[in-house]
Amino acid sequence: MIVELVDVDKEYPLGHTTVHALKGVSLALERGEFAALAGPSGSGKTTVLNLVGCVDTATRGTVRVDGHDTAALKEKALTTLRLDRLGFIFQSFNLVAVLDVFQNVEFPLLLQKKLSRAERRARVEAIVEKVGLTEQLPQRPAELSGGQRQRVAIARALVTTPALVLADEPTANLDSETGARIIDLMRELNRNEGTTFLFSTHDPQVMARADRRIRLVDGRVTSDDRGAP
Amino acid sequence: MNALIWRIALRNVLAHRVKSVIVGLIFGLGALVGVVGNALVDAMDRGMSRSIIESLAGHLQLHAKGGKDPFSIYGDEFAGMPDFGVMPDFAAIQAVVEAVPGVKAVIPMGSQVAFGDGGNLLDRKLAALRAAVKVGDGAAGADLVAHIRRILDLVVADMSAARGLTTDADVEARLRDAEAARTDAFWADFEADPLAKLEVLENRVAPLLAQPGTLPIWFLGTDLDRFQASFPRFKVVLGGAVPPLTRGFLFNHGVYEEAVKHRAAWAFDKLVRAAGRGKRIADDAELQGHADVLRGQVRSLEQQLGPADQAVVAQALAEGLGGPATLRELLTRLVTVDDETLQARRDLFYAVVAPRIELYAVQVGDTITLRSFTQAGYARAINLKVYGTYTFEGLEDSTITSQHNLVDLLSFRELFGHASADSQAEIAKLRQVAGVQDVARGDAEADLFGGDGPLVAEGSAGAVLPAGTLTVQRAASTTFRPEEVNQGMALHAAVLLDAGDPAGVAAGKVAVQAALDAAHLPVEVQTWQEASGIVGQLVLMIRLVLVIVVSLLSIVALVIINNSVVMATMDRVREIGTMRAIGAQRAFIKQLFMTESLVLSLVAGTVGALAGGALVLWIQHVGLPATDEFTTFLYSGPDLRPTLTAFHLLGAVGNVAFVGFLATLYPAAVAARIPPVEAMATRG
Repeated sequence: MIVELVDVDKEYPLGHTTVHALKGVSLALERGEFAALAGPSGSGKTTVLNLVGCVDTATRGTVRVDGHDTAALKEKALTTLRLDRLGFIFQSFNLVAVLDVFQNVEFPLLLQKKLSRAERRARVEAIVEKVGLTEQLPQRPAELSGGQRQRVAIARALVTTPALVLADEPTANLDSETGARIIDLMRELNRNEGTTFLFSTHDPQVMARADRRIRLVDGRVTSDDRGAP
Repeated sequence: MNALIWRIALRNVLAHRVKSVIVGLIFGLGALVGVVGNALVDAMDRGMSRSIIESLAGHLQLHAKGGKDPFSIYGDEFAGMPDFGVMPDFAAIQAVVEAVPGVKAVIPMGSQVAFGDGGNLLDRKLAALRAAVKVGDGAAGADLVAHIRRILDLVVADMSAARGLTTDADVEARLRDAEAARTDAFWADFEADPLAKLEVLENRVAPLLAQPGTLPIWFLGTDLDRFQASFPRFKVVLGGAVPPLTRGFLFNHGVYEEAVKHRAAWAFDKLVRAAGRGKRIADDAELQGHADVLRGQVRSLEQQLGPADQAVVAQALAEGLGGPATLRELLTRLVTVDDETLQARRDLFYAVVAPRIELYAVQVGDTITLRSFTQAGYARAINLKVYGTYTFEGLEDSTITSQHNLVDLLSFRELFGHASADSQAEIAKLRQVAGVQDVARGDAEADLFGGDGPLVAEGSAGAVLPAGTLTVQRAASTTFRPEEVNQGMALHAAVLLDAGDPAGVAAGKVAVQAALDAAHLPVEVQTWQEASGIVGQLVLMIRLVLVIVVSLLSIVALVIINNSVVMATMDRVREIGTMRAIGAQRAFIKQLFMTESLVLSLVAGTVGALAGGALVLWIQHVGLPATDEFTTFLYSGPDLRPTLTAFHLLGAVGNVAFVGFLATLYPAAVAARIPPVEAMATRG
């Protein structure tokens, strides 16, 4: 088991009221899964991703990621966990504007300080080839299309060979055709590399490509079905 | 990792242009101000050091240990003459100090204030008449008589108008004498007994004229020959130097112009010079004061102009100012100036009037009487020939170096109350002859009221002053022997060294002090800076002002940079959140911000420092002109020529980098606190 949520509540203040973003959510994810979080806006999809991504903590309940209880880890350890075990794909791509494609993908490897320059180069070039952007290596994000940017983000998320990749609405800022191709790419990487994917979406087309669909409504899991829809 | 930070930092500096330009401008300006400010203050430091060292102080000053007042070459003008103690045997000190390696010269000195008295105009004219009578110069005598009679006419006219206002019987009597002296009868038989008539005029009439007031004269007694040879800036302006081994007086040219010059000329000089600096009488209270002084000179000018010159002057002034009018009216018009008429009136004054009056109350070649009080409180007076005026080249306009007139050391010793070997021998002889004995102070009363000891010894029979035993040569002995200069006291002494840099001066002080201590001479050594008191601290104060200005600028820069970096951070919340989410630690974000600040401060600081360096070199080329007496002293000349050193450039860049570092600490901490969840926030 790579992810395990047990009876998780998440509350946060909004003005004078308290928003109950998650109410008693329990959820488990096995290695190699390709799972979608579905649900309308405000249903708690992003909150689940934040908790699993170790960028936020639960109000109640337990969140276990790659065997670690995230509530027990300090800030520094959480950061290291994110760096070594997780990959992130964002709705708005979130590339570092001043770095070119190669440097953006290389960024997490540099933070890890584990590989030599040559090893990093080999790793970056291999993953960039898989997302089909070898031609664009020396280009800056501003010179790329939305789909290309998201491919760079995918390469950056996968370059450290993480146990789990989290994607928050990865296709929301793309047209449907490009979005479909991005999901296909993620699917392919999931199959070939064995990487676990958890992504949120409210696009039925995207949902249809997932092995597993976890549906959230008002902070509760209302359905969790596997297999082709 | 470091390469990554540098890469991102560099690119961010380029990417966030507005922030980089604002912060860069501040960094650049800061470096520029730092370079220029430091170069100027350093130049002032050197300039002022030179002003002090090369004009009076030398590199070191020697003075007696244990003086009552702390030693200062420039004295203490407010509390009378300070007591620094006396170095009784200068020759011994000189021998010891000159033997120290690196010592170029030792110059004995002593300063004191005296009162000079040149008499009023009538006194001087009468003295000249007496001289003319003595040598039988009839032509000169006739001119002088005519001028004196004219002065008497003017005085009597003025005094008569004021008659009745005074109840002073003496003034009344003097006025009657003056009226008598105006008459042809008085002068008709002048030739018969000129000396008796002169006596009446000198003692009875001359005091009616306004007294010019005694002139306080600061003077420095020194070995004039060595002084002139050792201070390379010394330069004679009018007249000549005092000949070797001769008693004499040299006016400081600044004092001569300021205090001895006729007030009309003085006021014209002041006003024209101020006008040259762009000041206007109309809106400057000080200049209005000078203009008032100028307006008050009509009577004095009228008296100064001899009968033969009056018509010439009246005609020339009428041409220049429009006539016809009386001489008094024309003179009044001449000295009534405003900003428009000043230059023309001044030119007219110097062309027409100045050549025909005593432009200076004491002329080169005159004898001046210096009166002073000795340390023991006795009045002393000494007559000295004025050989000329001197200045220190480049420091002509500086008041601080233009205070001291120069006299020979022997005359100084007499005025100070320290008898020369000659006069001591003379006194000893007098005592011997008169049979005077020393009486101990404690025994004086006992002796006077019937003690055992005889108060007055029995004088040798009938010899109060036997003819031929006393030869008083003081009036005649205007020269002296070389050994007389050194064999005697000095109040202080200047030491000139081969190495005049701060380290050389410090080392010299130690070496000289050690030599003096080894010889058991109770003399203390001070550097020029210590010895010049508050004056020597000026540059320190200026530097302090610069430090305060730079600090204030730094604080302002700090606030602005801090704000603009915080603002820029707000724009980068998502980028930073993303880095944090991907796995960058807080320290990484901090380093990133500090590096960006460092890059910017180094680049902009270097550009600013180089621009400042160029500005310094430009100022060095054209010179920064001195605007007044004080800046002349500070610049050690008419302009300031700063030099540029690597220290100025590196120091400015370093300072800017430090300010940048401080200014970024807070924004960097803010940025490091941005939570990774910010990366998730969806926008747009």
